[in-house]
Amino acid sequence: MKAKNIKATTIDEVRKGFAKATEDGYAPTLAIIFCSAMQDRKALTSFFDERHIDIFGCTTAGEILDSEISEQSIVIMLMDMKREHYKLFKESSSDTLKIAGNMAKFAKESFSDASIIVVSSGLTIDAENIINGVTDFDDSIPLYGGLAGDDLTMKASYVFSNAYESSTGLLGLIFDNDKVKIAGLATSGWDNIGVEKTITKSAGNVVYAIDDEPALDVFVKFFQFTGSVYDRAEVIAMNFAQYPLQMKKGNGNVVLRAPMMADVENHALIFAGGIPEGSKVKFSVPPGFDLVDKTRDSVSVLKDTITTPDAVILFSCKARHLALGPIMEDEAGKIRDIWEKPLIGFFSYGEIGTAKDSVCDFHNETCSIVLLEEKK
Amino acid sequence: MEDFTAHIQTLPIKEEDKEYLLKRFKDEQKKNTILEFKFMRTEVDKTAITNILNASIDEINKQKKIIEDSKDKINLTLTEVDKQKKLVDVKNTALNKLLNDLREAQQQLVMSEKMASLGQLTAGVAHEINNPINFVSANIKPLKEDLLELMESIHQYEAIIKENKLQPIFEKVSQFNAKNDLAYTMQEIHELIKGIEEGARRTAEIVKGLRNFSRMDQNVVKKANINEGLDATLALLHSVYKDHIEITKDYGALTEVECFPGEINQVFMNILSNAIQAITGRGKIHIRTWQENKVVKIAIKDNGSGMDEVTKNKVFDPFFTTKDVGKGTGLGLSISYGIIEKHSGKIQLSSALGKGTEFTIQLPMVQNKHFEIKKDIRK
Repeated sequence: MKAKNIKATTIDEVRKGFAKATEDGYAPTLAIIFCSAMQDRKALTSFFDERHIDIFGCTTAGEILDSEISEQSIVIMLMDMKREHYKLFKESSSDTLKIAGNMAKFAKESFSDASIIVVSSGLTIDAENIINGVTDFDDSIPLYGGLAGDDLTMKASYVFSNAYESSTGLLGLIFDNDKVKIAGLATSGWDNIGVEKTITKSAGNVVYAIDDEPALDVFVKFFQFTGSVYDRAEVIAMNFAQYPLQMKKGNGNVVLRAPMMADVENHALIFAGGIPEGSKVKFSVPPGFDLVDKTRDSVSVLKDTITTPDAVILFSCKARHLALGPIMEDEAGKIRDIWEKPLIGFFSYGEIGTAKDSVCDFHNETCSIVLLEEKK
Repeated sequence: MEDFTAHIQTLPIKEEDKEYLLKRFKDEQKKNTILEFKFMRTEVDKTAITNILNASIDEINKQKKIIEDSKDKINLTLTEVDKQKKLVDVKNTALNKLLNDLREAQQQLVMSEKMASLGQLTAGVAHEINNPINFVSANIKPLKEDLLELMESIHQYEAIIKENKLQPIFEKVSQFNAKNDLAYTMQEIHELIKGIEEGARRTAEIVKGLRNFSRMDQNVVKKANINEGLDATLALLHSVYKDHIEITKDYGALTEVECFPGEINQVFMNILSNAIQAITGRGKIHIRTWQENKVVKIAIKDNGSGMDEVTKNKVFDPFFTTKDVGKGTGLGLSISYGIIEKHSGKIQLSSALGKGTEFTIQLPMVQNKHFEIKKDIRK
């Protein structure tokens, strides 16, 4: 399989980039598209529909292509993978658990040994339900992916494919493991700080009270540096997302949970993943500026699994972008330099992957990397 | 910045130099952006970390205060626990003592029952022997008189024969008498009667001793002669010591003592038995009694093996014995101690290893008025 990347800011630039990519007779079957929610998704999907190219796309909070990061743009990875080696799953519903289960079922029906890369829309969904839906059906299916973004407007994020777009659904790219080698790893770098706190009131991913104090007030007290106390949702997301709560789950996994939105009326915070009542949590702070080197070193272990991938996909938390700003470009560049293969990714509102010495989980503040290699 | 870029374009230099300058400018601009970002991030993080750490310090201080406040309560609780523990220890010691007392009382009861049974048996035997020996004792005197009369009669017969020269007529009788040595027979009859008399006397003594020892009235406080109690006990032990131990007595004139005579005799029995057993070869036991200020004192001293310090300290402990397993219960002296204590008396010992042992008992002549009640309780 060969992968080719296109970077554009308009549909015209997409056209030009596609023409250039295919001028040598290259015939892509699949296009991975990550774009700003402000881009014309209808025009994009029509363009690829007309060319009978399967689309796996979602909106973002920033785009990554090879060693560059951008905002409000379109990044596309074309692949000429054999169509029988992958399937697309599309389903829209607010019942995330159910459609995740359907996705796992579809994957197993499609291939006896399958892996899934999933993108999900929905700003307030409890993304743990994606993991639970899949693992409840079959916990042996490798699962990777991320939550779509919306340029931090916190209005709506989308997943899209051919004749499909959803602000509350899933889009799965399912591979036949017998034909496509896939490997991935999630890595963070955030450090916990301060004393342990207890989540004294929560429901799903909405946290109402920390140590009996309104959750929003706690975060405002520590992290509201500018503007009025109860600012707009995006300000809250920008300020607070860099300081996620670290939580140890019942299965031993340590995960970070970043606040995504504020429920000002109830003085509550909506996190990107569930935090059960009674959980013991600690605040965490962004890592130092050497994070990019640490990330490169962490993901390098994947070289033992796949030496020469055809493509590299990154799901990197938007909070990392906020915390590391222009340095994030170095992270993408250093990861690309490991394999020197086409790399595409986006800044997400949550990541799905497997951390070292752990099992698949839903994370925040992580960089979840996936390597693909179609077998000859 | 755009001004500077435009300015470069206007410079009168080669295009490649302009490109070089623009690239360097762009690189520096990027470095500057990164530095600015790092500065801002550091400032923001500094505030956030300071906030979190200050809050954590507050929380830790709050917890510290709670711990410190709790410390006093904990210390109070610990003091209370300590107090309760000491109380429990005291009660435990008291309970252990009570348990030991109960064990001792139980053993004393067992021994008392045994002694009572022995007393009954001894009294029964004494009673059964007493009647026939009374017959013997009562008949010896008339028998002796009758025999004397018979012998006198024989002597008169012999004098008449001699005076009237009737020997030839009584030739056969003379021959018979000579053959059977009548003179010796008559002498022997005296000796035999004397022997029977002595036997009867000694049997009567033993019976008296048995009766004295058993004292069927032992459960009642009685006035008893201590010297007689000692003799009665010695009479019972006579066969055990007679061959190798010399008993010397130095009995004082004693006022009778209010006591349970059977129990006091049991004490004498225990001490004298131990004294006898402490003497392996030939030896001596000296018994002395005297009275001082309404207290009767009895000292029983032997020249047997004696005791070391350890043995001396434990000799009155229940179940302590130096005898081989199964040979002694270790209760004799413990019970004796209890009996003397019950009588408001004292029992002391002095001993030296290889030299012998002396037990000294003090008994008040008069018991206090609660004595019998105490006795009743024990029963």
